[in-house]
Amino acid sequence: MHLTRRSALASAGLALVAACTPKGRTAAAPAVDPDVALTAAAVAREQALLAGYDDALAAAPTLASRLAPLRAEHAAHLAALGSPESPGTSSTPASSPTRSPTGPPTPPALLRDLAALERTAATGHATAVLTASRALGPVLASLAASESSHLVLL
Amino acid sequence: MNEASALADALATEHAAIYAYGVLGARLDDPTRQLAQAAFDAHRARRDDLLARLRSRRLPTPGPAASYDVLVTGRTQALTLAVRVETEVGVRWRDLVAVTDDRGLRGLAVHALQDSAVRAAQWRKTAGLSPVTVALPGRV
Repeated sequence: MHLTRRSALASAGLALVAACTPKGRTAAAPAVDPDVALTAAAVAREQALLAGYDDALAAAPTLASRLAPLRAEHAAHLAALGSPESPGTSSTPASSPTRSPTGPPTPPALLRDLAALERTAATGHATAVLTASRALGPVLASLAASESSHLVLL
Repeated sequence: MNEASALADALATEHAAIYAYGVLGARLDDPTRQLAQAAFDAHRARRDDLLARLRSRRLPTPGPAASYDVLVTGRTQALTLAVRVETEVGVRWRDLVAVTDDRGLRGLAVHALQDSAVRAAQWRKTAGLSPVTVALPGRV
């Protein structure tokens, strides 16, 4: 979500009006809290990872014992971000642009793709740590560290 | 906890880590010993980075403790101690993120936490421990 300064001010003004309305509905949270966008981006990174793991598990079930514990940690990350994975909404395997047209990807290729996804997510989380609140910062730091540690097993 | 005390705690833990790796490295064979040597070097670099930042803030720069309660008689104890060291270091660095808004310190802390989580996983894997990773490194 991208808010211009003008629309952010307008939202804040509306919230103020709502807050002042007698018996008014609860005002929405201020739209300028930077944690909102940082959390949404972190959730998106975790969902991309979950989809990547689901893709890999569908393509190579023999990797399950290796990948299932790592996938579970990404589900735990979503919960830590206050956005737990909803049951039964496991992502459908998406076609990967790196997939060879000549056949299904091999386990080494799948692991390499997952490692790249983990690295990207680790960098994103670590960058977000710099500007997050003191409440969200430590959570994102743990997520960055977890993604990095997954590379030991990929 | 404030920024100064979190920095002091991180320094104390890095001092302890350097001592521990000096002791435990002697109980390992190559190539595991090389992993310990690399960790030793990395913790010395973090310590030096912390010392520089403490000095620039005109904060105290305490040295290592006179002694540490560390007993390592074999490979298994060495690996267990290495996991413990990295886990404790990770907690201190994560704590720092919670008490500072300084981007330089945040960057130092998150990279140190990432490194400690990677090393903890490497040590658990080497020791044959399961699970190799934890979902939220640095969280108590």
